[in-house]
Amino acid sequence: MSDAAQPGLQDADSAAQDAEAVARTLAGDTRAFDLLIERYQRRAVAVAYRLLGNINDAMDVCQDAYVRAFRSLASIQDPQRFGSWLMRIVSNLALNFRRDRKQTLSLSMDDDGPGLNAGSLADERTFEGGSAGGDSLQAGELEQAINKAIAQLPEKQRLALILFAIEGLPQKEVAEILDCSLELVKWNVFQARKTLKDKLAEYLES
Amino acid sequence: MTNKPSNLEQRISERRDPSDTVGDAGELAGLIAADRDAANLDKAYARLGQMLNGWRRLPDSVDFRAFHTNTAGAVAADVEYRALVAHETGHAPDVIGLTAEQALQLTREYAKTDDAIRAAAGPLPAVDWNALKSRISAAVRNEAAESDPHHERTILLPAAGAPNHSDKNRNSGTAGRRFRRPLQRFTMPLSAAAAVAIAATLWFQRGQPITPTPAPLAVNRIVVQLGAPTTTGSVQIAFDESPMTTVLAEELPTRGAAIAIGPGFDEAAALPDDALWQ
Repeated sequence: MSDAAQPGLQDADSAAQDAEAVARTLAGDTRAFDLLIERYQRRAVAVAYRLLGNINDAMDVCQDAYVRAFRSLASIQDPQRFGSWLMRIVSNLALNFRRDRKQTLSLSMDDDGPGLNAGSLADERTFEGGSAGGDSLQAGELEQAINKAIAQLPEKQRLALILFAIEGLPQKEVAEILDCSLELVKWNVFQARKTLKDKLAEYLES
Repeated sequence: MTNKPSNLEQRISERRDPSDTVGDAGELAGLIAADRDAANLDKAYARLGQMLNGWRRLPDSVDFRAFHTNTAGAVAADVEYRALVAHETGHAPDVIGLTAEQALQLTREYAKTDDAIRAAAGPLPAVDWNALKSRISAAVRNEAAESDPHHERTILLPAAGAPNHSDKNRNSGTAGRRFRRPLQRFTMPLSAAAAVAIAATLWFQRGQPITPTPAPLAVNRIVVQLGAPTTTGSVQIAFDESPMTTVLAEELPTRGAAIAIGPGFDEAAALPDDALWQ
């Protein structure tokens, strides 16, 4: 199943299975946690990757997220919502990682002068939306333009857009992950889209 | 277009979202069909949606089997780590994923390992720290002798027991066995100078606990003075070692960078930062 086609995190069956896996893990059966890793790893890595643009960083962040989730498993309020809870951890860690990386880059450039390490934040080229003609140069330029436009969004808008409009999570789950109301999710997604529409206008006309 | 809803753009942007986010689809379609601006907006948001769906898709090369294995391993390692920390801090091991019995067994196994390591390791072999000091000094002098003769280098070696080595004494030529001569000139990158300082640091850190200074006032120190780098990147270095009573900030060289190293970092840390790096 492709990432985009993956359904929401918690339908009724999977919610019950999550609760059972959490209970078994808390009872000492660590193999039960393997089920939770397997169930959400693709989604977690996909979201982290959208936020970070580097697959190795994304996998590191997700591994850390699982370890932290395991440590804090006893504190989960609703085990049936393990998926949303995990995605909140993943999102927070990815955003923190991104902030740290920016700070490091900034310090590094202060030390070495402009131009050095400028590629440290360069994103991997994995754009598949492509330009109309499929030209790789144009696709690369478009990808960079999208990267830049999304990077400039406020964090909540960026997260809401990625979780809802790109990853396809139900708004209710996005609201749980972002710890905000449904209306605020819709508003953030709209604002993000509107900003991107304006910033990417030249690419949207083709 | 008349009677355009105030939230038309938002509704258009949500048009392709799952159904629960769309209002009256039929009414919206009618509005789009009747208004060119709305139609253009609709096209723009549709295209944006396509672009975003293709943005940063997971590479096919991602190995989720390996990720699963690594993550499960990291979780298991974390369980062990926290059980051991709980044991070492005297807390009852209360770690998810381990029963109390398992945690106790784990800590016993690690304790056995620690005992085995201690038993296998003998005492630290005797080290002749004076010989090591001589080797470092010789290496510095040899390097100076073989270096580019176009730059000047100064080495200061005061006599043991010299009461102090202020700049005045250093320049007067009266401090015991100290000699100062313009050796061959050389070019030394700043990193090489730093390496000398680090080597001296390691030597003194390790040496002092085994061979403590007998005289309470004669404290061994090394002062490495790095001259200010030139525009070509070369520096001068002055390497001064001798027993001395104290090192005060005002005694340190004022030109270039300087490092003062005492028998322990407590004394060095007591010096103001701007005295250590000027």
